[in-house]
Amino acid sequence: MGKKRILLIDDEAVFTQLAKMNLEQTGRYEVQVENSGASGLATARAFQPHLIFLDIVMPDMDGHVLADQIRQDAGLKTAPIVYLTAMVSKGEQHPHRGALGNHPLLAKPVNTEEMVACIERFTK
Amino acid sequence: MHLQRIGSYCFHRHPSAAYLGLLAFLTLLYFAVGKLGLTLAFVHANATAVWPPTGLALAACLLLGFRVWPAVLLGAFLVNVTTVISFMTALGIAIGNTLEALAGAYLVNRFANGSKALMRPMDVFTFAVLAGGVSTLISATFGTTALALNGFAQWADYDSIWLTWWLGDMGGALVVAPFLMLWGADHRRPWTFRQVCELICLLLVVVLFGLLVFGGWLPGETKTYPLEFLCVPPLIWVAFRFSPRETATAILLLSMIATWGTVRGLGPFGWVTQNESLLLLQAFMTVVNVMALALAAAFLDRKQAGAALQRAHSELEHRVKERTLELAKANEELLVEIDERGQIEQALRDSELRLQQTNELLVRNQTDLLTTLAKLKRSHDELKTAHLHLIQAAKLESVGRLAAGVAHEVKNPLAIILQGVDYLSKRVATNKNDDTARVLEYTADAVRRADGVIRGLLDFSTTRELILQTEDLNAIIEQALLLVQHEVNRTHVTAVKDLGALPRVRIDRNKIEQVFVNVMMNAIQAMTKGGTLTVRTFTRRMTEIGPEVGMRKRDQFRLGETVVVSEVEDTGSGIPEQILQKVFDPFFTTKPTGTGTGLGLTVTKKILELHGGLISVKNRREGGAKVTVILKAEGANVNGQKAHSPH
Repeated sequence: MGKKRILLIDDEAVFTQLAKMNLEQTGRYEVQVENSGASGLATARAFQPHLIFLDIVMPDMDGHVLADQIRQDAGLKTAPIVYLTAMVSKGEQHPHRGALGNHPLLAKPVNTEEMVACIERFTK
Repeated sequence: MHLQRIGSYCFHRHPSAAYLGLLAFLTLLYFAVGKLGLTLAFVHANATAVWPPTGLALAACLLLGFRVWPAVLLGAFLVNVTTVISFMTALGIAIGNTLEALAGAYLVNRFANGSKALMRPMDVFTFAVLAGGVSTLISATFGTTALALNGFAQWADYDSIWLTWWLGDMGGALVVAPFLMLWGADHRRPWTFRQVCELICLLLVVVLFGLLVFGGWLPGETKTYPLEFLCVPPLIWVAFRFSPRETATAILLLSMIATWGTVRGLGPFGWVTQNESLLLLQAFMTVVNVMALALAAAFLDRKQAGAALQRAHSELEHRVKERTLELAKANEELLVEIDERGQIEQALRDSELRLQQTNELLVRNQTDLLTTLAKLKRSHDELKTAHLHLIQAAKLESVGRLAAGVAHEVKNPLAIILQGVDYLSKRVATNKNDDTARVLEYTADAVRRADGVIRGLLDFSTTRELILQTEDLNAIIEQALLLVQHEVNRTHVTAVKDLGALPRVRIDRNKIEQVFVNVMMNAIQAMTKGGTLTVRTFTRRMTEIGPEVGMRKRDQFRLGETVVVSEVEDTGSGIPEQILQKVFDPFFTTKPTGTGTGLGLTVTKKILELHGGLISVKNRREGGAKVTVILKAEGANVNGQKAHSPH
């Protein structure tokens, strides 16, 4: 099995850049970055990721809306979506129920270790 | 004196008709009485043994004043000039008679109390001497001398004529003048019928005795017996029973009878010549007269003294009665006063009692007021505390809101920093001795701390949203225990469950789970050297509201209501008393800096308040602390669970 494809959709370009570098440094992932919500769906279709990290609060498109679009896309149905947001609190982050809607959730700030754990968990 | 002055005044200026009439009347009276007297003249035609005009003139001068002298002069002149003697002789006699009257009146006025001379015994004697003895010397001398000088009398007969004249005038002065003076003076008293009867009887007795002694009514030789003294008792009787006025009347009556009898040669003095007998009679009458008048005056004096004494006595009695009455009245007033004083004293005692009662009431009121004041002060303190809490809550609210807004913006930079640290950490991982790795570790730690604070604030700000569902509290507690299991294992703490059968509760599952996770984490962290964590649940009926329950919270539970109680106990060191009250305060923490946010228990408390529940912390006697969480059983009305709408 080759490198897992991870799509990172977040308007914070610096964060996506650093996260991409850190994840790719593990040598296990191929990371694509998308800083525009509106372009998120197209990028996902093109990239066909194994897992999508999706920000919720983005200037051009709400994360939930994008998540619904991705979920409804025939080619992207199986790809797990993990919300990666600064909005949630610690109490909402517990793994067993850290979900907003049907999707799991990671609260910023996160380190690479946590992101890796999360990817490994939802992409078995 | 008054009368005299008016008389002389009238005379000098223009004599009034009344005065002239009086003079004419007196002149005529004098003339008539004089003629009557002259019928008794035996020694000489002009010298009689009884000469009543002297008495008339004296009485007139005393009663009417000296102004009557012209009547005396004219009367005497006319009486004498109509006899055989010459004009000049008659004038001399008249002058003598006039001077006699004036001198007599003057002397009596001067020494014997004037017209009232007969009211006192001493005055009676003085009157007898001056008017009877002294003033009559003038007339006798003038008359006799005038007769002798003009040849109408022999000088040889001078002494007998003079004596007759003198005694005659004396008789007139002492018998007639008192009668006129007493009746003329205006001091008559009304008699009673009995007195009138007695007076008439007495006067009849006097007349009877006079007729017996001097009128020749006695039989045979006894006619000339010297029984003249028999006349004295009736006179004394009159003097004793009546006043000098009646006495003088009796004397006049007796004198007239005696003179009449004696002139006829009857009675005790009738045996000598007419003139001699009359002189004897005159002497007798003078003595009896003076004696009777003096006695009458003395009796009058005594009667008046007696009356005065009687008056004084009655007055004294009256005054004694008055005084007694006054004393009785004073006594009565005193009694009334004593009574009034008693009433006043009673009233004073009453008002004193009332005052005391009022005072007690005031003291009670004061106590009540103080109690109320203390209550008010407590309420005030509670209100102040509540106010502070409200301010604090408001502050926290704004902080929470701010935090919610800021959190997103802060977390993104934090995420970048953390990613950056991760990247750098990988790059420098090969060089173990380099400090860079440690610096990066510190940085990552700082980011986590900052993130912890932000998350606490977010928790705090998001607690106002409750999603209530009917839940099994025991299940939630089991879940919370699972969540802290890792920490329990790490610190070698023994967890003990003692969960009783509970009614369902209507709560926000996540929030309440967060409460128990927070409380259990605190308990575990308090037992750094291991211990036992005990979690207990049971139901209870509210029997009393503990002192930690404020007034606002009291509304949340009713006495007798069934509540669900959860207790979390640890066996740590407990909480120092001085900070026990502060454990729910925001940003209060006992943990080392960087370990806790200071918001855990604050959020916990807020969650419970939103549920209408309670949380309290106290130290256990056995050591360690106990947190008690009280929630309403389902069915009980939960206030305020929707009080705040989500943002």
